[in-house]
Amino acid sequence: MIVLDRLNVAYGTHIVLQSLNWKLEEGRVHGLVGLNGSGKTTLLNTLYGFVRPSTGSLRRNDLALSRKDIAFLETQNYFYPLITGREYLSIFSSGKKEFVLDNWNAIFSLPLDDLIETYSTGMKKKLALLSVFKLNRDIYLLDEPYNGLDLESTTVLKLLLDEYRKEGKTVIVTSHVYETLASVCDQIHHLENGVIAGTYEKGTFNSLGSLLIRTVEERSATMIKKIFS
Amino acid sequence: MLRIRLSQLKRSFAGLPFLYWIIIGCAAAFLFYGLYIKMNNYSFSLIVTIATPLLLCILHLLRRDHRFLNVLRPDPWKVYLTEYFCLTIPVLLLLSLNQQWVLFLVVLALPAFLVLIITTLRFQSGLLPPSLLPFAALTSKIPVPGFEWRSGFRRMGWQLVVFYGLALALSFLPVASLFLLAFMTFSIGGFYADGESLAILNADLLPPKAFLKKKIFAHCRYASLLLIPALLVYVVQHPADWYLAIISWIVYMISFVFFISLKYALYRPDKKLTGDSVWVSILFVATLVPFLFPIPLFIALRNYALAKINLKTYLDDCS
Repeated sequence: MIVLDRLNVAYGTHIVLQSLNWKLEEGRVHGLVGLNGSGKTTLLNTLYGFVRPSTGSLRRNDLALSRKDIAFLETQNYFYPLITGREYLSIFSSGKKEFVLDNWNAIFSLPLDDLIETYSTGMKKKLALLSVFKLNRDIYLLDEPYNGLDLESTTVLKLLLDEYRKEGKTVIVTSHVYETLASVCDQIHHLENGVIAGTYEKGTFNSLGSLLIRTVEERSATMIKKIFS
Repeated sequence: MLRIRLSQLKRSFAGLPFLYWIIIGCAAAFLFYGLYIKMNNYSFSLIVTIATPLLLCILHLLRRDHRFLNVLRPDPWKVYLTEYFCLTIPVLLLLSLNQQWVLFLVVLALPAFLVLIITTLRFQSGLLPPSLLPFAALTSKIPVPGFEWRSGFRRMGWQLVVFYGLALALSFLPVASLFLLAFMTFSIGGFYADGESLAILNADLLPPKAFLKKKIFAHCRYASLLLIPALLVYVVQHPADWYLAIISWIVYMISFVFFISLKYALYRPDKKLTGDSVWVSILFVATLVPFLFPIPLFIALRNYALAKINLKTYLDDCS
């Protein structure tokens, strides 16, 4: 069990996460949704340890959560200039588990011996995903993994996450496309105003979807009317 | 354009502590006076005259504003010409003070000649497949943890090969090849201008001290494998100067500690290094005036301590 207890995170005077409590069952795929600026990326960065909470704790099985257990796919993927995809992947260690690159690349079909500068946005995302999967950790944090992926790769990623679930890995994934989350997650957590406002099980995803749409409509309707009046 | 350059220069010097102003001022004055005395000798003036276009070539290959200049102006060659002329002014001044008029005219004509070569032989290697890039076989031999070297060789392979070839070819001359290898070390310093991603930084899950130690040792090993053969050739040609080769190797290695510690003292994920130009200039001056070399050593140690602090933000969980 991963437990976040009374977590407070702020950038200067701007409070992003406020006394956040969150319990995550391991071996499941967790979705994290929230409107823009709700703090999803900050929460993932805090889980990985890039952002330090001012107070609160992050624990896994009663021990402090360690970066050694986590593989993190950031929203924006940056690759070092003038190296090839194969070289980029070689930088990361797969630990004790063998990582047969050719088998993995049969799924993603990347031109691994070309310079990364020549890759399309989707190819870069796939390369970043390969580097994360190569790390073979217990917990995967995937921040917007579907950005730039085509239909085929989106389906492949869903199948891969299913396999990770079977292996007992814990996945936390964010996406702006709610339907993709609904199709892959066991639970979806709603982040609002710096706290987890609700956790939804598979059968109740529709009600969360409706709630999100309603919230956006309420927030935007007045402003849109103002523009078109 | 000159106004932009002056503002850039002003910005890079802004915030520099007063002590460093004094150090830089003294180093520049020493260098100028030392070169003035040495350039009484025609052979030395000749070496300076040969070194000047080489330095301008390095500068041209290292600069990253080619695209900017092409967008900014229809005639970027005029900018190159003006800038390179401005940079040759100190050499022209030294030659005129020593009344070396023939060499003066050569240096005066150099920027125009260089710009002519640049505009006719424009070489862009950015998006070629790696197997077709120059020195593909050599690059593939570099261990992957040295990704900066692989990337750097693809960017500046020609330049390094020219330096290395010259260092070997001129090894019969006293000291010349040692200086050429120092310039080459400087060029390799440009490999460390890009900050890698957090994912790469955390690939080995090492705490800052172990990370820096591993990086410095690995990169000094790559540099030694490259430089020691050329130093051995020099020692074979000048057996009495064996100690100069050892001192040079130490200076080169300190330079690598300098570059790597500077990179991580200023490191920001995914960003190009900024604010490094003043430090690199100090190292450059100190390399030319060997008795000033304790200064970069001191700066390298200081930056090493700063790098450990800076990396704590990104690596500390691994301790």
